[in-house]
Amino acid sequence: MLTLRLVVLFLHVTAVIVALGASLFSSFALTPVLAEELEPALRLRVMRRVIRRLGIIVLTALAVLVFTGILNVLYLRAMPAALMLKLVLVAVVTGLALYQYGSVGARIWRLSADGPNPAIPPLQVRFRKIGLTVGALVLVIVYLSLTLTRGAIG
Amino acid sequence: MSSTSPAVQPAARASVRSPLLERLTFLALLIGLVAAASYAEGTTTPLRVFKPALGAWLDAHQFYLMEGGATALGLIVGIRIGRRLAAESVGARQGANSVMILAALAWAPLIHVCAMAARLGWSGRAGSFASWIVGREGYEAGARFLRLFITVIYFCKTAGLAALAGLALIAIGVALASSHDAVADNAPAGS
Repeated sequence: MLTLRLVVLFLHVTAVIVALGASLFSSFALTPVLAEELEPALRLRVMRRVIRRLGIIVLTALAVLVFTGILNVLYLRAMPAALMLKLVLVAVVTGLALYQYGSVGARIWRLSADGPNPAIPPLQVRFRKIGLTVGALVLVIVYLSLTLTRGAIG
Repeated sequence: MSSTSPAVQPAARASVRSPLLERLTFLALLIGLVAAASYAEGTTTPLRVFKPALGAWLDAHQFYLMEGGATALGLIVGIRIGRRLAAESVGARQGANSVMILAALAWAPLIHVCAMAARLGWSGRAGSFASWIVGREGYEAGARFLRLFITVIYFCKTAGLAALAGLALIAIGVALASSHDAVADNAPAGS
């Protein structure tokens, strides 16, 4: 059956998968392989484009997550403590992602336009750390979501 | 940290300040708080004596004014926090106009959605607060304090949900501007 509630839920879950999947793929698959296979100059060129595209994907997914999440609250017709904690964590994750892509990522993007720069490696380390924090928090959010919908089973 | 380019940071930080957003924050806060205080304290009753038409209008609309003010305040605060977090981004500046348009479009539907969601769940332990404040201040004053307390909780919850939406709007703005940058960057990189 195709209902508005199901569509909203589908978009919500898809947005989580996209945001989390993109972050994990970048941190654990793409970045290590690029470090092993490409020379520094070429790696930087690839990374700056990846960061920009990844930012578009992750930030759009987070925006979809927030709006469908607020609609889901209405469908749930309740706001238990777990949901309030989840909303706070979503705000933290969105803020961290904005800082990651809109501030640190943008700095990497700008500095790397002229090729390798000694200021870039520490920024990349910070970018990766924030990404891992975002990924870990999203996992907590997913767990809290499960306690809201499947909590009664356990 | 020390890795920040000193030539880049001050310019980016300066661009984040927006007098328009500052004025809108003040306006939303003023409208929201005045409407909330009026609703909680029932100030329309004396107003109806002196200005019946205005009192009747305010009586009918003060709740919506409070919801609208809280939603606008939350949206603007979310947008301002988001802009500050994405301060280094070209997107935060270029996408600012599109974010404001999106916020203006989203405001009316968000009033209803955020207000409905804010009615759910935690209400500041109003039950135990009610018995405590009535026991302390007496029934009449206690009931007034309780109404004010519940209104403040409702106002804050509505604004909080709207702030989340404001952060999401900034995320869209940064993503839009980033896609614009990415397309622009592809041309010289490919040639």
